[in-house]
Amino acid sequence: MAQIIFDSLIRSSTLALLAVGLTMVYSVLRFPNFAHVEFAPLGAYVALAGATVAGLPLALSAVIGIAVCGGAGILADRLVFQHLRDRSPIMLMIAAFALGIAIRETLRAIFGPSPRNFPLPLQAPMEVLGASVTTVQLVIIASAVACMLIFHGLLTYTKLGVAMRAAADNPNLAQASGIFTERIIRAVWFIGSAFAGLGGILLGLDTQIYPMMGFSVIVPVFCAAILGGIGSPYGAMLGALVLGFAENVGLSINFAFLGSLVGVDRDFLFIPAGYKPAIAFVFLIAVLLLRPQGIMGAARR
Amino acid sequence: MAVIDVDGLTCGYGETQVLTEVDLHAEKQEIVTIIGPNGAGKSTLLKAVMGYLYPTAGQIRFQGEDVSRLRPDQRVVQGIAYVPQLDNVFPSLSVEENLRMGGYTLAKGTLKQRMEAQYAGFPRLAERRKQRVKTMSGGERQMLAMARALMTEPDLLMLDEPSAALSPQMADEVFQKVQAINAEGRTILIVEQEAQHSLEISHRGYVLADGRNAFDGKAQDILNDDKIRQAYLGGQVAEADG
Repeated sequence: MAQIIFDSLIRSSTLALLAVGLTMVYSVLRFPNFAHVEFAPLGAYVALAGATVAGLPLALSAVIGIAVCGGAGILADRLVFQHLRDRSPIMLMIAAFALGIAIRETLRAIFGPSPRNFPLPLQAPMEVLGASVTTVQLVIIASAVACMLIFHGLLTYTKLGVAMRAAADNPNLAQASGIFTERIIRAVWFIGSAFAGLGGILLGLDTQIYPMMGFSVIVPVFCAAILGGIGSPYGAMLGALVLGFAENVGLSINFAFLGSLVGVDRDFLFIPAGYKPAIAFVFLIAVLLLRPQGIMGAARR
Repeated sequence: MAVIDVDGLTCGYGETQVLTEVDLHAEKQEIVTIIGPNGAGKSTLLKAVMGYLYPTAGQIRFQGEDVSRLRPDQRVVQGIAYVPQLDNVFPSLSVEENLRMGGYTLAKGTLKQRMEAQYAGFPRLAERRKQRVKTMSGGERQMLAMARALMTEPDLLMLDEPSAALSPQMADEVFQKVQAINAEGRTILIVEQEAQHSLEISHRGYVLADGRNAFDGKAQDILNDDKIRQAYLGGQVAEADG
């Protein structure tokens, strides 16, 4: 039981970091940024290079990786999306797809296709509340929680944060209030992409670093954002939490009682682990049918 | 020197030209109402003065300076404020946050002071500081929209259909407020569809038709001109005379 909770929290942590950035960019620019998840491998590879090639401490190279992702987000906006501000979301979406492929394949060209690991010694798991976890896993959860709290503070208490929410609500009115919205958009790109970079580093710490690591979580990340109501950062956090638990709990339920209903008599009937990604799809479809605006999303006109 | 001086303004959206060589000016402490049928370009004129669209010809001068090429946020700093007809508040922000955004360009100390001034002017907002705007009535929203725009203590306040969709009492309250704001020395530009009420409190008025100047003069003259009344204030003739 405790193990499932821990596993779910780890999964939710990385999903939340990626989904919050995605939803932030959506909230001010109103297009689904399919390139967003590619900041995950970018951050992870930069951190890896910092730790191995440059021989920096891992924490420092992680910070560099995060900052590089933030800057790359601004650069992506400058080079691509800024020129398409007045275009339809479809156009932006296609551009995002193209940019995503470009980032992913560039990383593959530089670092090769085979998975890498951060240079960490093998760790013996400890017993925490009856679950076995490693220090790295605790760090993953702690840093994601810390980020979400800081982000909440930013949105609530700082001028920049309130301006971000204002620009998401109504960019024209934000301009009429004296807000230079392009600067706000830049800040959103930086923070959103930096979060994705951290998400990628944490994913890499938990599993492995490979070029497809971002693209492979694109469905659960979008699902978490849509689940919570796309455009709502708190919705994305909640969506990531719900999805993280759904994936892990879903795999651990013995569906034998359902089997007996349809005449399949077996003692054990689990969802095979290979179907884990399908859980996100099932959730996504259910949400789109029942509550298209998401859990926290306001119905739009 | 006119506070706002629109000179031969031609502009539009993309290929569609909305305004053609429009002239308009407003002096210090004047209330000026712009009337005209739907689609005459009234709202577009205000948007152009705010800076959402740039002139293809002509000039917009504010306090004697050409502001035609400034962004909206830069014009706010110059002293222009604008309350759109719809979506004129930030719905997911609280009342206080809306005012904070209205005063985005101000220093911290000034911001606090101006916020209190707005609460004094709109006591109903003071009771709702922490309330989210989503849950407020149309009248309260319109008041908040005006308070937000007044945070910078603008020299020019532009209101797009401030009384639309409000109850008659609420509309009265809005127009009283407009007069009070005007009495502080501010110039006010109002766009109205149902212009009777607005013209009654105005000094001068403009009639726009099909994106061009059709008539301008003293508000009283517009109200007394039967042709204009019939063409642009349709149906209100008998009511006002009786």
